[in-house]
Amino acid sequence: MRAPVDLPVHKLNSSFRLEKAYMPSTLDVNQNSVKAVGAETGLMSSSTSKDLDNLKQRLQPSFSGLMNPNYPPSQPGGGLSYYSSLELIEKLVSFAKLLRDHGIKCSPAEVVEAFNAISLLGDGSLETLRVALRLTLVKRVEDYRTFDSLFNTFWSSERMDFPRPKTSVRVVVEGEIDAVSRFLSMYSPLEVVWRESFKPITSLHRARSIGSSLRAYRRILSLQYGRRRVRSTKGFIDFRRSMKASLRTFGEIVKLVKTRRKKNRAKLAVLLDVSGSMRDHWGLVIDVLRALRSLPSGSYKALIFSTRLADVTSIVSSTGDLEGVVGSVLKEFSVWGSGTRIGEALQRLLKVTRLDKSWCLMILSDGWDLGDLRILEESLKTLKSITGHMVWVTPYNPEGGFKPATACLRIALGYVDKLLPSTSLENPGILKRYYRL
Amino acid sequence: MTTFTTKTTSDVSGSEEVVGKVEVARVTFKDLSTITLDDIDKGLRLKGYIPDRDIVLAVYLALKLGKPLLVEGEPGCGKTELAKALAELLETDLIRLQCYEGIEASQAIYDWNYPKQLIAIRLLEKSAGVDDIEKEIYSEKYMIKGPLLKAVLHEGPKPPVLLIDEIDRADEEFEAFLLEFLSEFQVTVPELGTFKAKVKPIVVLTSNRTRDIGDGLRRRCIYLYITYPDRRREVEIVLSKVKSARRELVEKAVDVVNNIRSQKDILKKPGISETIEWVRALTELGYNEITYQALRDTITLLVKVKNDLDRLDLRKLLGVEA
Repeated sequence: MRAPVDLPVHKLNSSFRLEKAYMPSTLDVNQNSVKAVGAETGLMSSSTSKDLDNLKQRLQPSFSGLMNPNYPPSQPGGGLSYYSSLELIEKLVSFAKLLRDHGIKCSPAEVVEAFNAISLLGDGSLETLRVALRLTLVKRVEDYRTFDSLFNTFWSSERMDFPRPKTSVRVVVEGEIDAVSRFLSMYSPLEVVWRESFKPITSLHRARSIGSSLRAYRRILSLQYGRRRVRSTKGFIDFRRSMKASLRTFGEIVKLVKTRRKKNRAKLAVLLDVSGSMRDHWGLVIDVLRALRSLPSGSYKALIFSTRLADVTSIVSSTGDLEGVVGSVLKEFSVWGSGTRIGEALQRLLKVTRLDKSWCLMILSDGWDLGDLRILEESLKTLKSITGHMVWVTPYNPEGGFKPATACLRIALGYVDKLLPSTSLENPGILKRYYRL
Repeated sequence: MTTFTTKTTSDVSGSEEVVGKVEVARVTFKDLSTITLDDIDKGLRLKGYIPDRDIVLAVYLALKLGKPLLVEGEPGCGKTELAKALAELLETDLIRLQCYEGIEASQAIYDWNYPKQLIAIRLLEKSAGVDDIEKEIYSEKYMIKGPLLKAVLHEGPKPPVLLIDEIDRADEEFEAFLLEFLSEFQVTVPELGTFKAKVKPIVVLTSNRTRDIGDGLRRRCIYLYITYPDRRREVEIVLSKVKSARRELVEKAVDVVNNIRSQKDILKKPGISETIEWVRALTELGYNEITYQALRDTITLLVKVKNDLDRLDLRKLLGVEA
């Protein structure tokens, strides 16, 4: 039960206001209120007095700006001066919960920072509050838009019960598209441009998971030796390290230190099928592109293909807003939604890129192909010989009964080192299981 | 020419001096705790950095709350400059750690100068005892101090500004190490003991977003994203950097740059630093206005990717019909 804070702010003297804000233990009603808020919002895992004391100690006692009773009521929605300190804490905690519900991670420590920030700035304007909260609670520019929209809804009105978004569910029913149009979408040699009305389902959370998996994958593979050296029982004698070790014995070299070259993380060339048959997985493709941005530049190549191949590495690695990039630039490549010619795409890949043993080639495709299978086999054979590792990622799950039955996949299985489900990209644990780690 | 006046309130003490006909105010901060938003705004402007309100608020909160400031944004938007200007504003030392792929903690903290130590051992082994030699070679004289140790050992009284530049280039392991360093501000040298910072450095981290920075580090920082400034601010910035440029020329240049930035298919959009360099080049070449010829001669200062150059229609950028 939330206790009302009914004393008008302008009638409170400064010291009493602070007592009300920071020493709720002296006011039973308020203590209950803070406990209730803490329990509701997850700011405090338990409503113990220890938590309350901790919170009290961490809040800075400066409310002069926020609590100014003479603050001109020109701000829409009343301005911050209309909140008492306790109300402000409650509102801030609720706002933090709202942010968390919408995928913006903000820890209790950051909420305390936010509170301290508005205490410091506290000129009572909503704009200052917006900037202060954004600087302290939001740590990714991708979240700015969500933050701004939540801020406007939450602080400009008195709505505290902002509804959580329902989880997106998309049900794909077999036969939803008739067989002929599905066939045409898969195999048409004509290129069908991206349709504005179609919005692939993407998820920032999934993109982050894929990013973790790809980073783990680079470590797992470690294909080639690099420049850096690490201590080892085998290997060559390292004179510099031996000299360093000899300092412990006053310059007398007692033990020779051996080192070997450290293996570098693998570089990833990711080939993404964006043909019509992959339409249901375009969201996944876009999330993979977003995830690649979390890798160091130069450690990956991003290529999309259907009947043609387009190298989008420079677009993906450019430092702009990727949402804009995905939305406006990729569709201009006119490869989205047309038929699939994997063999020709791989042949083109061999011409336009230089891959060597330090590279792992990852192909994300459902394997539906009506290109020349002979070209496919030849290209895979060449790629197998020049790359360090080759993996085929299918959007279907082999554990769920999927069998690589298409001609393309049957050929590919003879050359690729692993056939992975796309779930392994979304979960590093599954990926490690496939590599028996 | 901009004239700054100094506040006479207790938070700022200052003196004014006349340089020629230009009145310049020197702002000195005795104590960080008394610094105000206005001081930061005016102080940064005085040092040639024209901030917007978000930047001023972020710097203010970082100083007041004692948190590191993580600045992300497009290349050439003034992330590193902000740290430099802040150090100048506070009249304190700027200690810079430039990150790169493969950087190790020993390069950032300290390393022993082994050849020098070995020579010392050889010279001293006949005349000194074991303890004396040990004491000698494990002293600060034989230490190669990295930027982080320098920041910790800073004598003060003003805290130094520690700029950790392009953190996204460093490996995740180094990022994890930084996380620990930024929470304690202490460095342990096994032979000498633990050094704890007498004055906590003001930390500014920058990132170009070539790699995603971990949540742990983000959580500990005040986060600021710098994007391209609005037209008025960019004109102001360029005029403050290229003093000899005419306002009309700068305004037109900023319009052209904004025109390029607004094109969706441009891969490398020009930052503020490119605008400054371009205006400087135009001025040096003696162009009083931006004609088609002037733009063609100097476009490579703005657009540095061949595909972008091919895509751009220079006449359209100037608003001139072919």
